[in-house]
Amino acid sequence: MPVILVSSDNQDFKVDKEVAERSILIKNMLEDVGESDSPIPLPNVTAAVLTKVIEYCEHHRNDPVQVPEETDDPRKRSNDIEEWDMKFMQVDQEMLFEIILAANYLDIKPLLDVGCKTVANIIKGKTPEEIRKAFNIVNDFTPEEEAQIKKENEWAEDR
Amino acid sequence: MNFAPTLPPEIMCLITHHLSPQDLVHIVRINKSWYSTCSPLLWKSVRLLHPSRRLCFLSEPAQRAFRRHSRHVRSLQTRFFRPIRIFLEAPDLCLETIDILNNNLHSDVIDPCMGADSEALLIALLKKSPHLRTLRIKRSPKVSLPLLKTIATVLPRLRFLSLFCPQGMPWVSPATMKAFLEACSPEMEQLSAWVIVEEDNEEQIESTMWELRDEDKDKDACNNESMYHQCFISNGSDSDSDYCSQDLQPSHPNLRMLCLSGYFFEHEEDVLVPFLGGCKNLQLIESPDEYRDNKCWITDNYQIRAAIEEATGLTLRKLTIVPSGEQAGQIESEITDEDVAQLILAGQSQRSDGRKEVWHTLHLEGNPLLGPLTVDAILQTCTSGLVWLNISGCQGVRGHHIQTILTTAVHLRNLDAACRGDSEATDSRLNASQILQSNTPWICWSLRRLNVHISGFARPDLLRTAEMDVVDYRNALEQSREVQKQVYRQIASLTYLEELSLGDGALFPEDFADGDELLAASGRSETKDVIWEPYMYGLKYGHGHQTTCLELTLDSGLGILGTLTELRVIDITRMKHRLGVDEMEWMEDNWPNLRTIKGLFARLPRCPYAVMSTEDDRRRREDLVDWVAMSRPPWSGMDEDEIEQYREKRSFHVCEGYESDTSI
Repeated sequence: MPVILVSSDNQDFKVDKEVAERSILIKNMLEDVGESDSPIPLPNVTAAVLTKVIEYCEHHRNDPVQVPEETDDPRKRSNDIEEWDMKFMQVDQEMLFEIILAANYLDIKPLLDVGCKTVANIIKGKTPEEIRKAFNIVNDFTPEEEAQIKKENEWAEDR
Repeated sequence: MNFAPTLPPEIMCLITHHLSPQDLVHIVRINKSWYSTCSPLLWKSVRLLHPSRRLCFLSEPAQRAFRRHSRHVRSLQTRFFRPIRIFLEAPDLCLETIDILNNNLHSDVIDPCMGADSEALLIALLKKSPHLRTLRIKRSPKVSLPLLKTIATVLPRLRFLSLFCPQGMPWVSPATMKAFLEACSPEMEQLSAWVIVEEDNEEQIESTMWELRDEDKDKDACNNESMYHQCFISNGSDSDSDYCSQDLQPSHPNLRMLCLSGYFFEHEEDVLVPFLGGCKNLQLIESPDEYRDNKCWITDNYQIRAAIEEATGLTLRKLTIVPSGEQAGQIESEITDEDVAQLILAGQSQRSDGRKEVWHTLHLEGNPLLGPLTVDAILQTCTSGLVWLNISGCQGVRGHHIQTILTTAVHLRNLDAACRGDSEATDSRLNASQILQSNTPWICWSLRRLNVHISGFARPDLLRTAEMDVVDYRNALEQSREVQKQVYRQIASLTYLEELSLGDGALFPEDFADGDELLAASGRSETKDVIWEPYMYGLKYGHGHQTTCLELTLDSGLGILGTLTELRVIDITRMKHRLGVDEMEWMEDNWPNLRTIKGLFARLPRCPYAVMSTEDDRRRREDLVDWVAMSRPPWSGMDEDEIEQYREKRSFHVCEGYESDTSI
C-alpha cells in the first residue's frame, strides 16, 4: 500500500510503504497510527530534497536492515562509498547539507552515513584555509588566536 | 553560504568520525564553532610516538589546552613517561585505555626496561584510572611486584591486559604471579603476559610483602591500596554486588583468552591450577615459548590439564610428528597419511557428559608424508579448540585448505602454513584468487602469528616493458591493486597479529640473526634456533624471489593494514616488494610496536637485492637505503658498516647479468 508524504512546500509524494519505511521516523509513525491513508506531513523537508531522499530509498529498498553497530574503534571505520551512492551524492553543497539534515531528521542511518562520509572526503588532506574555501566558511579567529591553536595541537600532527 | 551554522554539532561530530587525527588538527583551526565542537574529539586519544611530538605536548600552549580538555581524554598511547606527570595533575582524568610502548624509535639502545621514576609515574597514573578497560605495557619494571600489585588492586574494570614484551621479560616469583592472577580484575576478558616465573632471593623478599598485603586485606586492616580498592568498589555504580559475592562465583567468568609466554620453570601448577579453576569460559589458552622444548604445560602437564578440564569441560591434546630421519619423535617414522588422519580424527570427541576432547596443538611441520587425508582431518578438527597449527612444508596442503582454515579456525593463535622449496610447491601457496573466490571473511580474529605465502597477484609493475601501452599498463596496475586491496582487507581483520611472515625468512638463519632478534636471542636461552631444522638444508631452494606477491606499497593499499597495531615482526624475505621511504614512515606511524623487518634488503649471498628494473625503482630503492642510513631505526636490522656496504654495492642494481640470473 502506498504512503503519501507531504513536503514542507506542500507537495505530495506517493511512495511504496517499503520505501517510506527506510526512514525510521516514518516507520515508527506508521506503526503508531496503524492502518490509515492520511498523508504524512514532513515540515522539515522541502520537495527538492525529498525527491532526492526518495530516490535514495527507492534504490536501497531491498537492502538488509543495518544492525546498529556503534563502533568507536577507528580501526573498523571505512570511508568506502558505494559507486551508486557516490554518484547520488554528486550534488551542490547546499543540497548535500540539506540531504544530511533530512537524513538526520527522517532517521535514515545509511544515508546520513554516506552524507557524512562525503563531507569527510571533501575535508580530507586539506589545509584549514582550503577547507574554509571549500565550504565558504568565514575565519573568525584573529591571527594570534589561530597561531595559538596551531601550537596547542601540534602534538597531534603528523610529522 | 556558511557551513557551520547549517550543520548542528552532532552531525559535525559524525563527520569527524571519518577523519584522521591530522584532519582533526586542521578542522579545529577553521573557526570558533568548529574549534569548540571538534577539540574534545581531538583530545580523545593522545598519541605520543615521536620525540618531537613529546616536546610539542610538553610545551606551554599544549599544556594549557590539555588542562582545558583533560576530561575528554580516553586513551593515552605513549613511548615516553614525562607526559604522564602532566596527566597526574589533571583533576578529572577518565582514561579507558593506556598503552605504554617501547622507546625504540630511532634509538640505538633498545631498552625494554623502565626506570624507577617511570614506574612510579605509571603506578600513580593507574591509581588515577579506575575506569581503565585496556592496558598494554610493553616495558618491564626492574622489580615487578609493585606494578603487578597495582594492576591487580586498583583496576576493577580492566578487560584487556597485555604485559611486557619478549625483549625484556621481567622475573616474577611464583607467589607474586599466583596472587596477581587471582586478584586481577573480575571483568578480565583477555590476559597476556611475557614473564619469567622463578624463585630467587630478591623475589623471596617481595613475595613476603605480597603476602603481607594479603593478610592485611583479610583483616580489613588499613593497607592503603586495598582501602582504595574497596573505596572504589563501594562507590562504583552498577555492578557492585558482583564484587561482594565474588567467592560464590567463578573469579574470572569472562576470561576468554589467556596467553602466558615466557618460562615457568616447573611452577606452572602452583601458579595456575587455582587460577584456572575460576575461568569457566576460557576458550583459548596459549604459551608460545613452551613449544621450543617440544613440551607444553597446557597439554602435557597432568594437573594443568585436569584444571582446564574441570573449569571448561575441554580436554586439550597435542600432536607432534617429527619428519622421519629426525630424532625419535612420539610417532614411529613409518607412518602413512591414513594413520595420521585417523589419529587426528580419533583424538577429537564429544563425551556423553558434555565434555569435549579437542586438539590444542598440531605440529606437523615439514612432513612430506602428509597428504589429502590428513589435511581433511585437520580441516574437520580446526573449527574448535585448535590454537597452534604448524603445517609448513607439508606436501598435501593446498592453498584452498589454508583459506578454509583461516575462515573456520576461530581459536587459532599460530598458523604456520608456508610452503617450502621451489616452484613445484606453488599450488601450496595461498592464492589471491582463492581468497577472493571464497569471499568469506577470515575469522581467526585472535591470530597472533601468521606465516603463509600469499601469491597470485598480477604484478604489471614487474613485467612492464617499453612497448607496453601506457593506458594498458595503468589498467593492469589498477586491476592488480584492486585485488591486493581485497587481500589487505582480510589481513587487516587480524588485529592481534604480532608476527606476519609473508616471505621466506624462517628458512634462513643468517637472515634471522640480526638486529633486534639477535638481541632478543642473546637475552634468552639458546633454544631460539629451533625455528629452522636441519632437514631444511637438504632441500633445494630456488634463488629467485616471489614475483607474484603483494607490492606492499601505499598505492596498492598497504594503508588498509593500519589496524595491525600490535605487529612486531614482518618478514618479507625474498619478496619482490616495493617498499619505499613513504611506506617506511607510514609503518613507523601506524605500527608502533614494529621492531623487525626481515628481508628488507633481501640480504642473501646469492641475491643481495630484489631486482629493480626501471629508473624509477632504482631511485626509490636508493632513497630507501639513504633513509635507513639517515634514521637507522632499530628494526631495519642494519648497522653502519652494513649501510656502507649497501651504498658501495648499489651498482648491483643495474648489472644485467645479475638480473637475468635471478629472474624466475
